[in-house]
Amino acid sequence: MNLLDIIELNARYGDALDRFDLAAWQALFTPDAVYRAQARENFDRGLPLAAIYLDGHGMMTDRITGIEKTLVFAPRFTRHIIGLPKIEGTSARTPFIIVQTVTTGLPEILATGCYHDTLTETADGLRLTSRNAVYDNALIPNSLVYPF
Amino acid sequence: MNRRIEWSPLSSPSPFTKDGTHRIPNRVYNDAELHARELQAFFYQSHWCYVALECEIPKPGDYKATMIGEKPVIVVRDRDGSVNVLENRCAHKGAKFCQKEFGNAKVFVCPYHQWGYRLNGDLAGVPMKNGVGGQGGMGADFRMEEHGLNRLKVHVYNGMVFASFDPDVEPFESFVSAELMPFFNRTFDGRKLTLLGYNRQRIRGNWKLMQENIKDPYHPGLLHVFFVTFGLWRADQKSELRIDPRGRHAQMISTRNSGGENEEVTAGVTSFKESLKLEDPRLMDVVQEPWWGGPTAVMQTIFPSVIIQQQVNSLSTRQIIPRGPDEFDFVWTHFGFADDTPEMTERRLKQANLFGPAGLVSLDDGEVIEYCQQATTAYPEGECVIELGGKDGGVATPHMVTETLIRGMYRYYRETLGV
Repeated sequence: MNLLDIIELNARYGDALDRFDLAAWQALFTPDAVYRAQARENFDRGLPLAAIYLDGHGMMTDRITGIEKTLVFAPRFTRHIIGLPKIEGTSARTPFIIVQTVTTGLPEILATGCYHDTLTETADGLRLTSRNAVYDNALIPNSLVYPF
Repeated sequence: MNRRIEWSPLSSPSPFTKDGTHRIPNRVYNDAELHARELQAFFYQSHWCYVALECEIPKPGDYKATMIGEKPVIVVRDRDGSVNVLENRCAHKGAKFCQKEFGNAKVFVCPYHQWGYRLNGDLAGVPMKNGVGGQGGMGADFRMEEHGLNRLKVHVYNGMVFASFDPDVEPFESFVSAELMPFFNRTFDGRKLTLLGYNRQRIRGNWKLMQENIKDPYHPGLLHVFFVTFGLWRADQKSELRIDPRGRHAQMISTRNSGGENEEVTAGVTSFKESLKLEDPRLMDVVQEPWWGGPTAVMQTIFPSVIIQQQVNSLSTRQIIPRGPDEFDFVWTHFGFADDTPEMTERRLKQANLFGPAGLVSLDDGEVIEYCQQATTAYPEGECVIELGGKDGGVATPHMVTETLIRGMYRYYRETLGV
């Protein structure tokens, strides 16, 4: 697993979400990959609940449809600041901060945490086979709209 | 112990300008004086407040730190298996001595001067109580038994834990009311519960707006497009509303239909999107459970502190923790039953995508509550028009096209606060 490849994957990941290009976000996962956004209190205690739990591209598509066509929320920008990965075999842990700005308000920290990933090489390049965005702040400032 | 309060007149006139509760003054959402009275009248006396599920603290010594209103408390399982609820406030200097959310303890020790307490709150140890080398120490009149942690009244009911600061609070079942006990018992019939995990969100809105949201069957079929399209909650489905005689608690009971188009409820509803289909039906892989006995969703508001959700296979308690008049924390505890198969647990976890701060049908609730707070605060002289279904003060109803439950809650509010 090449360090630069993982850094590039994460750069594309944050860029896709911050541009609201959710199809590009989804394309960074293998078709049967699992995505979770899970509070650290659940992760640390072995409790299975996640705020978002998407098992494969189909559920990711449903979440994207939910965000783009059904959910009501105030307009916002997000900014993913993704740190350097600690690689262990085909797994990696990477810290992140996500700042959001809702309508004309001031920026606030939406989450800080760590991506717990498993990865694989594909013909298209490095892809996520699972990502659990484990966020430290159990308390979310109201809404978690876009994936972490 | 808290003393019951005889209310002195408000420093400004009652915000209610009319009889009845079909008009709600905006001031109730942001007035500091009213908020202080609400905390005292609803959270600190005469009411049972939700604090935990028993399965969160299964073993002796297991504890959970939580809140009743704006006061920190600890819920702990004692050595004999009983549950105690104690103020999280050292009797010495007033420190909130327990800082961990969850843990296991043989005794509670305040780190400041190491006063130690038993799991029932009794003071067990005071360092240097008898002085050092014959000097100092507590006076001869210091009584250990007078300085324990204040212990609340507790009621453990079929896996749920409720507590009250009020030693004279009415019996739990009469508090919930005979009208509501049958559906309360439908979920909590004594089966062992299992803990699936937590979601927490801070919503910048008045805490009552969340009670109103779950007493409001008008909005789900309009705001929550997911509900509309997949037939989870629509104005044309079989449903009923129940309310306790005093108007404070309620249940919205409904049975899912097959979805699709129905002119009367979908025509002109901008949120209806007929073409919307799930790419992966496992997201809403609903399996009928024998204990439902018909209804597919029962949403309960137990005033003031908790909402109990059964929405198809997803179960949670949602605790309301006010933080001043302008915001509250909303804590979701998802659970299942000890005899659930792994497939049922997986189903509950997938359906949890609909709920919590990221929920496909609950994220919008937090958002619109903030929208309400923003404008009601800006226009304190304004009022809300709560007249769907008439102007009654809260009655049981065999349909959902009414805001009667909200009117009921404010009938109770006015009577209790004398406003």
